[in-house]
Amino acid sequence: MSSPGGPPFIRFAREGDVVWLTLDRPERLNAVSLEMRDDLWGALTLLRDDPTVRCAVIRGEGDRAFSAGADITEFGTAPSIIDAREARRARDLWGVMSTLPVPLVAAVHGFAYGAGLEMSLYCDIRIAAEDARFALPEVTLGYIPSAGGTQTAPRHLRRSDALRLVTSGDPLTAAEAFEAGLVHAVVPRAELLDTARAWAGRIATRPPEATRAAKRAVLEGIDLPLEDGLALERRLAAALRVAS
Amino acid sequence: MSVTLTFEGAIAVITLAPEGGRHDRDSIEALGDAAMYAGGRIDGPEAVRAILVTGDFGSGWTEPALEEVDGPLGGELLGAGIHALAEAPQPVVAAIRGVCHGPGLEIALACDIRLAGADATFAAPETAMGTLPRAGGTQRLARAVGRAQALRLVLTGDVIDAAEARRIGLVSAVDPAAEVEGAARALAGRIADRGPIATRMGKEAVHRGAEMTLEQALRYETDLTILLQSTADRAEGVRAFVSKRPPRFTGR
Repeated sequence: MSSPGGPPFIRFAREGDVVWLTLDRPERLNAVSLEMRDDLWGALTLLRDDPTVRCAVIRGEGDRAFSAGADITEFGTAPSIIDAREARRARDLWGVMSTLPVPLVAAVHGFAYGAGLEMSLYCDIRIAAEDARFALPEVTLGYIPSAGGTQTAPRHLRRSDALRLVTSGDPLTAAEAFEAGLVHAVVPRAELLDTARAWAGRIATRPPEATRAAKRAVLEGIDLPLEDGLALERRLAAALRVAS
Repeated sequence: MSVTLTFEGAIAVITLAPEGGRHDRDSIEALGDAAMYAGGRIDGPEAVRAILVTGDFGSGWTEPALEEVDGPLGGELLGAGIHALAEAPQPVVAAIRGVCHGPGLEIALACDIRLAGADATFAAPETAMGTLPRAGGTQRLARAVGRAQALRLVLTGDVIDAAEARRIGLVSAVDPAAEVEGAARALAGRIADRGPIATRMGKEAVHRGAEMTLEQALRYETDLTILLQSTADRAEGVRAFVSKRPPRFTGR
């Protein structure tokens, strides 16, 4: 996990059973550049492959942003759109994040725009500081969210609210995000990290096999016909009983 | 006229005025005609980039409409015009005031973003008459507010006010009654200022992707994104952002 010519854009730190991932490119509002994608890929595959991690928290370095989104200065740099599509398929960063077994907590302050908001939508718990602002502004530039936002937003939010975010690009304040059910709690900025640490700590005290099975049952089950979802739940529950 | 269609720049405004607040085959057909006409104008100088639905959403069906037999034996579905509204490719914003019950609620559910005036009330009264919502209500309501609230509204016929509608997510905001149409017009205007292909594809990605598994839906979003990379609008949007000027989208 390293960036050519500099320190990684993702800091990976372990506090007991909890991993803290810090988006660390504050001078660019933690914008997701190609290098940061590479570093994030490394961090997420570490999380995926380490069964001893019981919870992970994602946060942004600096005063102003969780992440302001994709790095627009890199747009249009792929040799062709076919290459762009192949590159995304070959290294499916958001596919890894959407299927990560470990529970994820997002601690969001400042801007969570575009890919920043979309990253938080792959998390299971979202805690917002009072200054947090959420938006999917892609349509203002003539494109659509492409880190899963058109799919994850309607799975967390009511349809009318998801369509308002996606088609208007209008931002939500932390209070509006709480009202819409986008975040689980809103706290003063000074309490953000401790609040996230407390949520992660509670999750980390549960038996990890159970939290991982529960996360999988909800995320996979929600898109299945009820009958298949119930069968998945039975299988996961049976596997837990056998293991214990 | 039970439905009027007017154009304000790139916004098509569909104003509902069912006689006595009750819908019948004619009023819903007129809605469908307006939706298909506005929805078809996606190209050229008169292109429609957002649709606003406003006026009187209505309290129910007329008695003759309630007696009509639907479906294979009865010819075209009574609710076909409401389904046509749901199929409009552009984002559709609803400004809802007063009574929005039965087919009125189904029209609102065919819109993408719902804003309510503080005087709005919502209900699905059909089961009291021994029937069901017949224009997609049982399906779109559950997708709009989740199963628990959809079942409550359909099984009880309870009338809920605007604040309750916001609480359950049926509407995205509540404004003072006199201001909701202006708020909806402003929202439609902001959508109309965005990349028009992007707003249509964003709408499509949300509605269609919600019916897929997440894995399939993410691939679908990627493919739409890649398709957008071939448009002039996307290049213009990025150029405008980099040079800090407003973009000039052409829909190409």
